[in-house]
Amino acid sequence: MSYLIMEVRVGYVVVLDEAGRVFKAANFGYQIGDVVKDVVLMNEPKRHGFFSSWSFSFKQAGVLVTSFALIALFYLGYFQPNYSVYGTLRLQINPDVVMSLSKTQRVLKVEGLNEDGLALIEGYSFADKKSDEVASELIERAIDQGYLSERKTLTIEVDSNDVKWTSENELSVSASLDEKYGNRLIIEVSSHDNDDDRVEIPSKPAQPTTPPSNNHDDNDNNNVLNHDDDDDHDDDIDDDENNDDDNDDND
Amino acid sequence: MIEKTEHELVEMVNRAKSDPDYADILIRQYMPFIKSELSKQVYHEPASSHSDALSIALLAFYEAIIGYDSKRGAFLFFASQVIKSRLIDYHRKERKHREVISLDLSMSDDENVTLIERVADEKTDGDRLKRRALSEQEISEFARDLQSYGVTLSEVADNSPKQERTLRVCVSILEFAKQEPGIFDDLVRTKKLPIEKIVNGTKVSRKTIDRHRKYLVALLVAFTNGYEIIRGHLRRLNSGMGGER
Repeated sequence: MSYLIMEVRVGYVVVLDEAGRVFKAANFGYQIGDVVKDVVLMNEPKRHGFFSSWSFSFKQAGVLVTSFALIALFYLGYFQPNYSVYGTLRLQINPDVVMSLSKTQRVLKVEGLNEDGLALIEGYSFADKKSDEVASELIERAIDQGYLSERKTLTIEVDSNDVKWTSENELSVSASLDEKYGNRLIIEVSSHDNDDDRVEIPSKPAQPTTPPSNNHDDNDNNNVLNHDDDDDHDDDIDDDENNDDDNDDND
Repeated sequence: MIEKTEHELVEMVNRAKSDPDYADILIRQYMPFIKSELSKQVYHEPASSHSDALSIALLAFYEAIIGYDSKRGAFLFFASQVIKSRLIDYHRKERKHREVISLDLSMSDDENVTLIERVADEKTDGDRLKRRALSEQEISEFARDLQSYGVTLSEVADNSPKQERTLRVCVSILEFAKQEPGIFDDLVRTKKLPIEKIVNGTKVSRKTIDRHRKYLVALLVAFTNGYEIIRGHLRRLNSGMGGER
């Protein structure tokens, strides 16, 4: 390749190669019009100047913005719906417990609101469980521990700032519990705003069934389950209360 | 050399980036500094190569002017680093290539011709000087012509495509212009590149054309009448093309 010297400057010359490229190169005492074989080409300035610092800043900013966007997406799309409290579900049997729920009905926390409630949830693990599953398991525990007996009323109360979410969850939990316990229990849904708006989900006609966990043969009518401490019963229509004395006697 | 504050010097450097005449002035002003830096890097070289080393140091100082920004600290310190680095590279390359070339060696572009034959064929000094004078005249005229388009040769060098692919695109534009008579006419008449016609005729993106506008102006102007020496030099370009318009 040969180079035609086109311009001569103190610090460099401008050369034209045979392919049509034009470069700046070291001036080894050339004159305009010289044709030379070897030149020492000027190094292109590395992009550390004005534009590169801008572009680098833009790149940095772009990376940061993208990172924040991803974190925000992760937080809003996954973390928040699954790990931030969105509403609550309260179960009132006699034990009174409340669950803090995420938007996706994941149970984040379970608290006992009274002494029985605390006793009910003692040692209970709610990790990675949804509200209907926890509700069901707590009811089983309540039955096991004698808090719940046949025809007792279980009140559920869902609360949230999201009205739609509240009503959807009320229906969902009550339907789920009704399917499992509707033949044995009265499941009521209580509205937080207006306690008078109670919706009673009629239970199926009671059928004689074997008590699930205890052997109490004395109770012909109701398959009464043991409950030793009845002091705090403040609900309802419970024929079995009349049988408590009998149950106590049998213990 | 008049002592300048760093701020004044930076202002001069910034001006020299875009003004080749001013760059010449600045380099001349700092010649003692450049020679001083050179003397720190002198290796045990034949005397004849000292002027070569000075040429390298001058180029390095110019590179420092172009590449400098305030983030790099004081300009003279930056320039001294660039000069040092360049001289080390040059010295390394020179050591590798310092060998006696046999006059009986075949010329790489023509195996039938040896160097001694080529040297012997070379015109007399008088012919060479005459040829060079003609080249200089034509090139000076070309540079003046380019000025009427608002383009300098230094700008053409900065604007010239470096990648083969982009060069081919630019040559394709020249090819199109040769077949489309209106392009040269518009260029000469308006002193501007007829970008719209080129975009429509070649499908080359406007962005590419804008990016290499000054180079394209120079390339097209070289293929208007009168620049035979320059066109003649473009052997590799012409080998794929038909010559002048």
